[in-house]
Amino acid sequence: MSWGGAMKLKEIQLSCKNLSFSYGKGQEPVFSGLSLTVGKGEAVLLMGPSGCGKSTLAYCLAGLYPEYAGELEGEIFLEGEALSSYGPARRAKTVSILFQNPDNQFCMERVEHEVLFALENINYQGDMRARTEKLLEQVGLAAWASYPIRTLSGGMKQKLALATALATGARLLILDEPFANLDPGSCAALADLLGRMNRQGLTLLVVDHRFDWWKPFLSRILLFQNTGSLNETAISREELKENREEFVSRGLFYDDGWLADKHPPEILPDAKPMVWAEGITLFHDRKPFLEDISFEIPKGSVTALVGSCGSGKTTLLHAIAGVGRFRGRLMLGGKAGLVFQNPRFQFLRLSVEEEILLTLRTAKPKELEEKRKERADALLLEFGLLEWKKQSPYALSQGQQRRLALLAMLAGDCPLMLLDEPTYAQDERSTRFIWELLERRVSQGLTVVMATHDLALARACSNQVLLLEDGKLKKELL
Amino acid sequence: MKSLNPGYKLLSLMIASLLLSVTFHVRLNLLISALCLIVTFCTPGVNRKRLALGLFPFFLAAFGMFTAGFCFGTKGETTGVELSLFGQDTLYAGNLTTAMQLSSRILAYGSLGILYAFTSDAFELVMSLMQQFHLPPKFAYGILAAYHFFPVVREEHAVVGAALKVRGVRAGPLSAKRLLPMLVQAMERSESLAMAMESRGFQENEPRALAFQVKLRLRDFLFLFGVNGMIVGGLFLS
Repeated sequence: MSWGGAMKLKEIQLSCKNLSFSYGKGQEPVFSGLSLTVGKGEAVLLMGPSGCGKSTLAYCLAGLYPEYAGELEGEIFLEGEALSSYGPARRAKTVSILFQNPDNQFCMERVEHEVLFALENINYQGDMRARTEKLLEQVGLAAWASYPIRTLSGGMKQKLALATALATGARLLILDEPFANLDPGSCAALADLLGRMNRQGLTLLVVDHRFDWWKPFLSRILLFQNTGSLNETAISREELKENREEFVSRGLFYDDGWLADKHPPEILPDAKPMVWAEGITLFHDRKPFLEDISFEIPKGSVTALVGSCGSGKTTLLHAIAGVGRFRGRLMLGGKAGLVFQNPRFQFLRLSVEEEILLTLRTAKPKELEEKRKERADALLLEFGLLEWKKQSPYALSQGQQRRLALLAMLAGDCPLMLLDEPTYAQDERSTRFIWELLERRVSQGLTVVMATHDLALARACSNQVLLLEDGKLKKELL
Repeated sequence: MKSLNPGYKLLSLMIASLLLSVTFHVRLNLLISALCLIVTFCTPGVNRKRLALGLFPFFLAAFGMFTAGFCFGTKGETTGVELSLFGQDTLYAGNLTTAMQLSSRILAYGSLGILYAFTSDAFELVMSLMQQFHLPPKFAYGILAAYHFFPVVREEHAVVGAALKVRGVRAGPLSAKRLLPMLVQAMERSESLAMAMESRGFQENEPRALAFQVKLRLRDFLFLFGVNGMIVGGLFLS
């Protein structure tokens, strides 16, 4: 799985040699002595476990680190010139980056203004309006030119980010998990667009947990390691099958094979409903949103809520949890816990241990503090978080934060757990770990309702799949 | 009114407010208030329901000041205080006068603010501040980004509130428990945004093309000198 073909110097778009990075003096380096070469017109996918440093490397290669964080040693070359010699305006004409969160990358209100802003930055001397129109047409957003950006879906926001990157004239695009917040339809549309751009000569360096969407136009997959030459780990599209074990042993997604031994839990024939909804109408921003929906969720079952971004999955979860407005009859068989898509919103304490203790104190106020601490330790051990118990929740990796958020809810002994995208932006190992923790609780009687874009997970592990579409609960597949 | 340069319009109305602050001229205050409200009301595209809602606090404050001045005036018994300015009686002259002076002043300030708020565009104002008043682009685009994040912050406030409720934790709207996750999120967002701007080629002190030109025309100067000339004239004529 070495990368063959010696690349001529003029064909190299981006390279780095002996690159080392740490987030602060005296801190352990995220990676050291790392080398990498990306050729012009390639589509290179960088895969690695959650929290391994892939995104950090992407930010270094985009020229954002060490300016914004950390300390970097070694040299990065962009089209043969040291990246450190580029100023932001000149650099943007060669390399640009798309971030994981599509919401945090725009500073203007309207779609066309954002593209114009990028053209202003590079001191574009042609007809800026005409160029904007052309770029928006290229990414399929011409009809939304005057729309406020906040009204676009996640997929459209990523397309807009792509248009702004193209506006600067970037020939290399670095993408940091651009599909993380998108539904399958948006992923397919964005992947198709990026594939076309790649065929037209745009070089892509992508950080992602899955290769499915990239496979049709992929040049190589690099498996991240924190030292040495990443080129040595290269796997071409044709070599994927024979390297399946390599992915599995590193805890990375190869396909949905990890779901092969998964199945929905057995539900007792006389299981009582844990959630019972009849003719409920949900509200978002005080407007009716999902109308007249009815469903029943039996105790000890797993239910998947699927649908495109903005279809109302989160709104429905919030209503079941008692924190969203609704009209109609909704009855629960017990207290509901809710784990948000972004777990950082639900951390209330400055240490991992305190986070769990807070839930335990609320659930059992009369319990002795020592006993509580013992329980907290046992739970943290089970969730693989014990060694971080004195750390801030915000200092954990994304996968660990997700586990902590789940634990903070499960510790309250709620019989119903509502999960918003529980497997989002994680590698196979973390996804499997979380799912197996949940499976154990489900076998003890926990009822799970999860909103997810992962259709394979929904099909394999759920007793029922509820599809939300066009403001209705359209199908109920059992 | 909407076609005026927003930067110069702001300057004009700020000078007008300063001029009004050196006097207690009731008729002038009321005249300014009435003119501002009529112009705002007649400007096409102004949401009149929102205008009424926006005016409510000013009328309430004016009414409050009127009542306070009317019922609790000092009847001019205070000594050693200037009783006349620009030939008019000042605060201590009498209950009704005091009440009218205080309330009409509130209305005049409020109406100037309302006129500006309802006939100006925030984006154009920032562009005008950058182009005519040399506000550095770094601040200008930073302000715009922060302005556009208001709806997001409001949503986050609701999400954190929901998270607290689900965990059985009670917290007021401004509680530290609620603000901590929001603060962390805000810091991350601002860094992410700065990186996004830079990766789109934003660099201070580099030549920039101009896509959003906010023009400065004769009418802007006419407004500046017209409004303030009228106030100064009103003060001296009275």
